[in-house]
Amino acid sequence: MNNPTETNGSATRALIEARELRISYGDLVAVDGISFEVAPGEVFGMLGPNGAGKTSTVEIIEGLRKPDSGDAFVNGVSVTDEPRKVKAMIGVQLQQANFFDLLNLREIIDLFAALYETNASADELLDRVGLLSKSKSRSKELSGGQRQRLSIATALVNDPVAVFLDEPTTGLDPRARRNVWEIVNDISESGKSLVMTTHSMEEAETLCDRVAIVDAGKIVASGTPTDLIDDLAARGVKSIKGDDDLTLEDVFIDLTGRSLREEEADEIEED
Amino acid sequence: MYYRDRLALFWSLAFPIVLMLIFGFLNFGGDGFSAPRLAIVDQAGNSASAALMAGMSEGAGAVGSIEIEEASDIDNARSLIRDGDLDAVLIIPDDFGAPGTASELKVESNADDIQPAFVAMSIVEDVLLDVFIELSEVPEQYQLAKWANVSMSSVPTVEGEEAEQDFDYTPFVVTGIVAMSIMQSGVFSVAFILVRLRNQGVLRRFRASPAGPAHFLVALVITRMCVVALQTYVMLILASLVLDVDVGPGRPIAWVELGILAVFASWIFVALGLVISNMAKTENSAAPLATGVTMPMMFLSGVFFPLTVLPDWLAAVTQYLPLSFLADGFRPIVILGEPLWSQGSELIGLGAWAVVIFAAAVRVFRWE
Repeated sequence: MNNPTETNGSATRALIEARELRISYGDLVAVDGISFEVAPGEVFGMLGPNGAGKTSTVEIIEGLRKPDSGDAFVNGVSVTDEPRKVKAMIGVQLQQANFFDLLNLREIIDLFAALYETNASADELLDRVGLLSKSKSRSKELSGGQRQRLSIATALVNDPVAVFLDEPTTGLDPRARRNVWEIVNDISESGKSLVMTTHSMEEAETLCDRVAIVDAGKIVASGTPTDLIDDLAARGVKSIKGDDDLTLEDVFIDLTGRSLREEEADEIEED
Repeated sequence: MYYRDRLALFWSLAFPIVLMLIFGFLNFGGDGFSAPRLAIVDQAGNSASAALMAGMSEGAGAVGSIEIEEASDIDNARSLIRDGDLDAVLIIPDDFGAPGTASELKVESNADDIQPAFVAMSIVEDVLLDVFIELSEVPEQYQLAKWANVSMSSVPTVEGEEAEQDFDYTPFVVTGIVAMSIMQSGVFSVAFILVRLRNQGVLRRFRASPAGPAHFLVALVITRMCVVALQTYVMLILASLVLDVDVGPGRPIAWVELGILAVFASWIFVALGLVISNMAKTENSAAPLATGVTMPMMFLSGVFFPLTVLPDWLAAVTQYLPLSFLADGFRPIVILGEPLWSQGSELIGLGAWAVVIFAAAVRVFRWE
């Protein structure tokens, strides 16, 4: 189960497939041979500390970065060959979520609908992320959490087959975080695949059907959160908190010898 | 979206309009900024004419309002006047100082710019009076009234060559400021927003869409060009209504040509703004960069005063600045009613800049 290539044998055809992705920036190898598959409707999480290569991996699949080697496919379409076709099929939320200061939310959604050449209803999308009452506000008036939700709304304008969320809750307070989680569940229930990066164990355990633990550009383990924890328990590892309930955090510490939370440098924003 | 950016609107439209009205109403130094230049052509070459010329130099020095040069012959001086390199010429006829003759001293200047000729004439009369007093001990036939009177006339026009027009400051500065405002709004309207959008990751988000940011960039450039055209018209209409500037006298089509020129030129400055936005890391560093590029041009490209007031070596360089080409291209169309297509060298100059700056913009452009 810990072998990332094992899913190749699964019966369902993968919607997203990353194949031996590699990218380096100067001397730094950011992504060092990452492969995984995501089934239709699956919520796939990439868990790891900052700088592990999660964002770079996701950005390669989104067509924002060219891999040094390897390729990624969405619905069988190669992102290195036909990036525009892939971009049209997927929804993207980037880590830095900012928009035109001078447009209101409805105008921003309309702008993105134009960029994706769709007739998405701005009100419907804003309603879906709980921002309908703010449709006349400017994006700069939004809180961090609201901005993330707006960002997710823009990721849905083209009714994508898969949605990529890059640290959608980083820096949010618990309530705003839960708001985003509800939206993620809602998207998942509508049958879309989701790929999200996070360095929150709790988030990965709550939302993801399957997670890949990423460290130093490599996937060090992958599987369902339960499987990963059971695997650990089976080896007799005890939780660092001293109680019997093992978490993904223990899995991460076991694999890397480091705590995830040390890497976390979140600022909590008001929602 | 652009019109919601109040600050950008202020700098690109309100600011040049205020500037235009200030300079237009104040009409700084309507008759140029330097003392009128007078040349003396001495056809007599005798002691009397030498005394007169010495007296002139002395008188001019005392008055301080006229510069005196010597000129070899009349034709040379006249052509200098027609080119605007000289304001008036005093001609001392060969019979000057000859006993018993009342010779005619002539001051010639441009018909429509007689101020320097007046100054020159009054000095000549003063000097003649002095010479007369000095010479009053000499026999009566040398006395002033008997041997000289001063007349004023205009330089004869040469067939096929138009006389240099009256230097009227208001249309000059108004067109200069219109040209400047094209530069300002071109550079400022893209430089800041692109730095901001890039730093905020908005351009990056566009890149994740199938349309890609190139669409956005093209749209941005096109809107800015439209804004520039609109702004040019607002300023020209104001100039003609409020400041009485006759825009393209006798040629209504000039309004269309000016719009074309404005849009063409805005391309250069929008591209310049793109270049600046790529050199600046933050919005705060974009400001001094943009100002550092536009401010010198504002003063070195003949916006507020003619390039002739600059030292020759400096003007020789700055005449090739894009804003110089634009201002020089605008002026004959606005002021003299010349057609756009006769501004050949300016159009070539602008075209060259358009190619160079666009190539630079393409080369340095970064999405993130």
